[in-house]
Amino acid sequence: MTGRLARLIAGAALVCSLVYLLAPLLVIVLVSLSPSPVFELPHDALSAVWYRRLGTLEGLGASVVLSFEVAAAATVASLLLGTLAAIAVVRGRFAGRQAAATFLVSPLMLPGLVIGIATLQFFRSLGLSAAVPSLLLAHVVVVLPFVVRTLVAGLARFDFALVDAARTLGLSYPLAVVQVMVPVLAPSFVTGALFGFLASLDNYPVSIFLTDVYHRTLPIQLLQYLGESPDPTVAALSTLIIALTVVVLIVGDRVAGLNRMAGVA
Amino acid sequence: MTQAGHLQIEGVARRFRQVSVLDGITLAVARGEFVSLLGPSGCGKTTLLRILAGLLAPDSGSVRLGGRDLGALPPHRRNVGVVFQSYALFPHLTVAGNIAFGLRARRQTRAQIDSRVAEMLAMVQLGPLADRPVAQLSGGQQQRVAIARALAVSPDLVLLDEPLSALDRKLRETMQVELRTLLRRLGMTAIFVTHDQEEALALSDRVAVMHAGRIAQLGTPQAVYDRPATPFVLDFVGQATVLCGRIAAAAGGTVRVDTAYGPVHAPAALPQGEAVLVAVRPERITLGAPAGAEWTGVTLPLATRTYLGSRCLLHGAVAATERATVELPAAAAGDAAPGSTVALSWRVADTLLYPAPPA
Repeated sequence: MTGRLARLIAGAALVCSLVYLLAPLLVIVLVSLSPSPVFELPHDALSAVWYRRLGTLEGLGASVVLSFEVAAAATVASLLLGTLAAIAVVRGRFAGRQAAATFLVSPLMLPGLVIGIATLQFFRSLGLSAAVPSLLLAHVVVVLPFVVRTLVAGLARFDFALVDAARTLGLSYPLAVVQVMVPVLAPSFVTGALFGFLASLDNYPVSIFLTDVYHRTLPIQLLQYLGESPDPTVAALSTLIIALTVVVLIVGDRVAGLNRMAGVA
Repeated sequence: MTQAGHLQIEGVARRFRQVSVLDGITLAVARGEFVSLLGPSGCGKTTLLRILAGLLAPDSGSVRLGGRDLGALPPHRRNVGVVFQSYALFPHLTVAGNIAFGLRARRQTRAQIDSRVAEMLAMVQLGPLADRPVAQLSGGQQQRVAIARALAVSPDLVLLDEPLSALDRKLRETMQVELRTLLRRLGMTAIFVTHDQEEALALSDRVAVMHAGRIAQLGTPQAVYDRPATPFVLDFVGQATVLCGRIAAAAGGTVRVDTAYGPVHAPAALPQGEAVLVAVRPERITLGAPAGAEWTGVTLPLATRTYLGSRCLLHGAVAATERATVELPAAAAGDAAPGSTVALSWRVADTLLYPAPPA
């Protein structure tokens, strides 16, 4: 009897959690389809008017391009740096190895605001004030922890005898790494890159300190629209971002498995 | 073993941070021979294997294979197959993909690869599983894939690093036979690393017992078991009764050793007064007083009696530095009971004698 009750409570808790997590997303999607110019629910007609408005928004295209460029460049840089760092942390034998590992993922635990202020101060002191290079460097800090974390986990499970095996079977060391280590660790690369990319794409607190009037990333541009004209255009854009995220997660699941992506297994 | 072998290891030494792991290993292995490197963990056997594979460079010494000096050759140019302890199967490839790996690396044609893979699959009886991912295989099947992968490229030498240690006992025994039959049929020269003395004795043409970076004894399984060269080999390979004593008299190639359990005769030439260890294999011992001049024996109190079905183990109550183990057919154990004093005897020729280690 207690078993059944426990299952009932657990089931109810699950449903509540799902509703709590998903309801806001659902609201955004519904609002974006509403004909009303204010956030209003429920509505009785469907309309794509706010999606059409997206094309006419000033500066939107540029900010989308900038955000994707920064996210892509920071992800590529992080993959290179993060892989090497993860190998050093997992395979290296040096004092402070554990501390280095923690330090490399510490931006995940620090408030973005702190990183934003710190990078701003740091870049100013170096005399770097151009928006795009500052954004790029700062976003490497945002993306790198995701790559390092998944690769350290992947490498910890990686049997380096695989590389030895490939070498004894006739491949030179570099070829053995490319043909064995890279494909076996592919899920880690994909997972780290996807999460890092998404984190960079939606980063606000770091970017806000480094953008200028001409270079606004998407989240900053979005918030500004919201301040200027709070109509469902923003909801339409958000819906598109949700759709993109879902696509990315599905692709990630196919390649790496969602559990591994979330770091559950 | 003075003529050059197929594999010729000369004075190979290796240190890790001031600690000598291999201390001048010299070993010649004939073509088609199966040699085991037997020893406890840390004896350097795996280090030697990695040096042979080219995964580790020796500090000094040379390795020649089929007349070629392997010294400067990286692993991928040696044509040496390795079966790893973890199997090291490529998880992103199928069974066939794993076996084809070395052939692809050698840039063979598609047709050559396909026919060789099919041949290897048939050889290890995994044909129906060709397209399975290796993660879905059982331990024994993975083992076979690892062997097939290593042999597919027709290596000049195959190195096996404790390949059976991950299998359960029953499967291990089956795989032992399978492995031995397969390698013999192919005439493959093999070096087999193991810490399991039974496995080494069962599989090998010759066994090299390794201890602290050196080969303590090299010989046929029977020679290693019957005539251990050192107390270490005696101890590591099989069981033994070992008693402390001192040489009381020496004459005509035999000595009399006084032990706490009576005088023991042994074929040896050691000076009178020297402290020695007297040893004998447990199954050489019978119950009863020595029957004639060719026999010798001791009398000691019995501590335990263990019934094992076909056999019976008796353990004597002796000093902490000594051991008294007797293995008898169950029917021959009689009524020897713990607490009673029994007479044990064996042939003088079976007595082993070693200088006592410094205390």
